[in-house]
Amino acid sequence: MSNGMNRMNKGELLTFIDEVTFALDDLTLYLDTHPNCEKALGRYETYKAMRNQAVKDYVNMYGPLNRYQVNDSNYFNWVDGPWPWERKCDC
Amino acid sequence: MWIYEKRLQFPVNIKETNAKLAQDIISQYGGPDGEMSASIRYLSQRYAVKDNNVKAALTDIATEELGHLEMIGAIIHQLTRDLSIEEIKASGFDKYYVDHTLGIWPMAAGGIPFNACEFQSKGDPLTDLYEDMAAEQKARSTYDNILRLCKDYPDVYEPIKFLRAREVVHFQRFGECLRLVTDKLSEKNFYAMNPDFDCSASCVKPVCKENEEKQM
Repeated sequence: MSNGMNRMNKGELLTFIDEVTFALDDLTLYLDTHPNCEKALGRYETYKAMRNQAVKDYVNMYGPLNRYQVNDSNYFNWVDGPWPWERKCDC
Repeated sequence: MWIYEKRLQFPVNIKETNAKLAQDIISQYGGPDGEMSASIRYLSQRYAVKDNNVKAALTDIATEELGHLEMIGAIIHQLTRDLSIEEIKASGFDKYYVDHTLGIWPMAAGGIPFNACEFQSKGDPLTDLYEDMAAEQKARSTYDNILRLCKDYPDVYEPIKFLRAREVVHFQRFGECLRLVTDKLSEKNFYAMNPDFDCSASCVKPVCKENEEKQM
């Protein structure tokens, strides 16, 4: 568990993942048209590392974000809700 | 290939239902300038493109638009979930309810079903990129119209504001794509040809830098 992220609950950790992934989404589009920009590549690396750690923590504690992260041999926990379009208080 | 990630690009948590607002916002699901039109338009246009940067941008912007389609679906779902028959009648949602109950179906706010003509794939990157820049502006205008209608509903306003901002960024990126394509053309022939179709045809006079260099 990385520093800072161990104090987060499920919702906070998912918000953190949303934020760093959004930074990557936006940088990706920029890099598509500026593939040699060192500054953007540096930021891409930074946010990628943050996302990888946060996703690893989330998967370990709360279950898979994608179906390749299922790690329960007794139960396919990919099916568990809430699904993204459902209100958070549904869970 | 796509891998589904179990989260929205920007969270949607709407506390109070509002079927009237849902009927306006559904235009960004299945309307002329909505997210379905955008995502499939860009995915379809990729095949005619030669420039790798443009292929990447079309792929990644289209992928983001699929995420936006999901966000709009979530907004409409949460605005209409568990509506009573009284609420359905009072909000004018009854016309939609008759055919789709509380399911999500792609149509414009005026009730026109989704039309595949919105996809606009011409097989000419110049034409398509101009189309895409216009499409992003039209989507931005639609979001501006929706924002005026949902000012008093912060749960709806925030994700719509996010989506509007993305249209502005996509417009910028498509503008850069257009520049990348035109930079590879002969300045004598900027808008007089299809850079992908004509450049590869041996019977055509040199119209792109690649052919000009070969002839020198």
